[in-house]
Amino acid sequence: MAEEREKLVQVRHLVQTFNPGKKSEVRAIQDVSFDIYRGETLGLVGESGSGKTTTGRAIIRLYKPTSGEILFDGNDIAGLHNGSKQMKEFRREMQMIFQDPYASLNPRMKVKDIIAEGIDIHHLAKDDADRDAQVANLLQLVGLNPDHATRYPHEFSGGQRQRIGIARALAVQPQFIIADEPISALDVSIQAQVVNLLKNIQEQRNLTYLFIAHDLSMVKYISDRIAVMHYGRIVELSTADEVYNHPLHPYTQSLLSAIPIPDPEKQKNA
Amino acid sequence: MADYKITADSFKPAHIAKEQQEKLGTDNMTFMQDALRRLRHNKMAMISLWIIIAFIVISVLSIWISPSNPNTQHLKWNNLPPKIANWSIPGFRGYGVSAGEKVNVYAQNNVPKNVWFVLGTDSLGRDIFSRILVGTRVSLFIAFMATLFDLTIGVVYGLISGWKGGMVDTVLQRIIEIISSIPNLVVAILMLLVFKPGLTSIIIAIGFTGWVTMARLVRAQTLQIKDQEYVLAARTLGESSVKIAMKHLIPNLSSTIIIQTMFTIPTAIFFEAFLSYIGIGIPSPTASLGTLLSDGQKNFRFLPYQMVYPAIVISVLMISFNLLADGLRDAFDPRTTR
Amino acid sequence: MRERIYYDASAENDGAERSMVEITPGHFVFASEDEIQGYKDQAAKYAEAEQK
Repeated sequence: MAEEREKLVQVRHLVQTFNPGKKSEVRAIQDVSFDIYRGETLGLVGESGSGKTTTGRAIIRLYKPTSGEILFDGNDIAGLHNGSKQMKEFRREMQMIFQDPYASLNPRMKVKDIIAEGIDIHHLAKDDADRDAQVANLLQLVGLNPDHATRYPHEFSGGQRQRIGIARALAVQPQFIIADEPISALDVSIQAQVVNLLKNIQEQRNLTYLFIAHDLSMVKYISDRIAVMHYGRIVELSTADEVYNHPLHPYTQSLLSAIPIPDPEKQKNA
Repeated sequence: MADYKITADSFKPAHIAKEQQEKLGTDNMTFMQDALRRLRHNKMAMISLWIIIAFIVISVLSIWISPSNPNTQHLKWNNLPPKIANWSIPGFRGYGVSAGEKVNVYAQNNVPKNVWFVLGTDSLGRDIFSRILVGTRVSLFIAFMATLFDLTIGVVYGLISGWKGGMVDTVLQRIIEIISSIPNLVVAILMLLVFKPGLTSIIIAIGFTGWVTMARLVRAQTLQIKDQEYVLAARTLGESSVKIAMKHLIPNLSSTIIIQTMFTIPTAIFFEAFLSYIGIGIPSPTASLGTLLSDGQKNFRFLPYQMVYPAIVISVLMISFNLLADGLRDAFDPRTTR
Repeated sequence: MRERIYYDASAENDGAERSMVEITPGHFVFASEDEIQGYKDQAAKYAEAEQK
């Protein structure tokens, strides 16, 4: 629930164009603006190609925005240079959880090194013992066994790998996490586990989430507010209930009409 | 046949202890251990590996231990066929063909009883076996240097080109295109303008062009890897480019790099042999596999052993490296599970 | 049968100027001047249905 109205992230007229000026120019984001309040979960939905993943990656500065402002905690991060001190500090505050559990972990690294990479970069551990302790804590937090620290990613299932990715993001103690389709590649029964884990962690650590997905029903479960994207623009933005029950923009209505109902009897007759 | 009625009561939830739920079934193996285990099952690759190791060990030992001085000429004992002591192994009894008849050449030339040459002597009476040892040593040394260039220049060039992308990549690639469009032979000849023919000029010629394939392969792989989510994750964590290259790129490039070096080696060996064969490589009197082939070829009609044995050595060396490289590629990149 | 609504994207290409407009408090829609009234009416219909 959004009880505090302090704005943690403010996106103003964000534009992201790839290969500008060339024949292969792609306008992934065409002037997008929205705010994310501290403590809330903003869901960002859209189909493939809508620009939602690009938006997430632009906010976390994996791309340099073509134009526009991204204010984090009041500071504009859109113009930060890679490798600058401010960029490094900012990297601790905002983290990302990725979509593909089979590509988001380096297959040649042990789980503990994967999780502790952020700890090492930002010097968050006093010594090796401290580092191991932090990793063990994080593994337990995400529901894994601390013994797993010395294993390699290929020994884990998709759901377990996603949890390792969550532990990695939490290791630097960020305020804001962008979850880029974190459950799209998982089996349905595991999806619920991971989403509930994210909800619990959010409460425990007072985190703010941007939850990017294409599955509207799952997004409704976890989000306070939802923004609907289409062709690089936001077409509708409101509370989760409003978007789900009272959709106004025809695109939102078409998305909702496509959601399958799990009960076969109801699905046939609805 | 009884009809079973399956009702909701037929099922009870299974109770698995929480620890059991997260238990992992496989052994704890790194990628390398797993790959080496696969390599061991490949007989051809293992045979090749042992042959190569044997060559390396013998070559290194030959620096100190050698049947005779490879450059000493025994003009009275020239063109002697292979003979191993007084044993009766066919082909190694010191017999040759003279005027259409099988003749004990050693006796014919009044060679003392205790003097014999395992692989015979050449036209200047030099022990061919010792010369082959020296030649192999030279070839392996050149192979080692070529690998060094591959690993240093090639890998770094490819990494920078692939990682940076954009203008940097375009410029670096144009440079490679220019370098690779000059035939190796021309480069080698140009080197002769600056350096005297010998090991240095050959190594520099290889250093100039030999790393290009590695750079291209590393660049292609880097372009693929850098868009992988685990590399993106490293960037979001704030990892520097250099650390990303060391922790994430190179370990995942290692298969490509190792396999490519195994292919570079036979190319380098052959390049040296070829240059020496046409006379612009290692100058006489130093032995090299190429000069041995060249000298041996002159007497091939009547004294085939002078060319056959060096040819066998160079062929076995090259085939072994190629087979090992194939085996490594299968081990690192299993397409089908057995 | 449940009705599947298909979105006709050509409606976007009419060249009209659109921006995020607050139709009801907290509920924004990307709309042009002409479309605002239509959305407000729709929102009102929803509110009526809720009352019943």
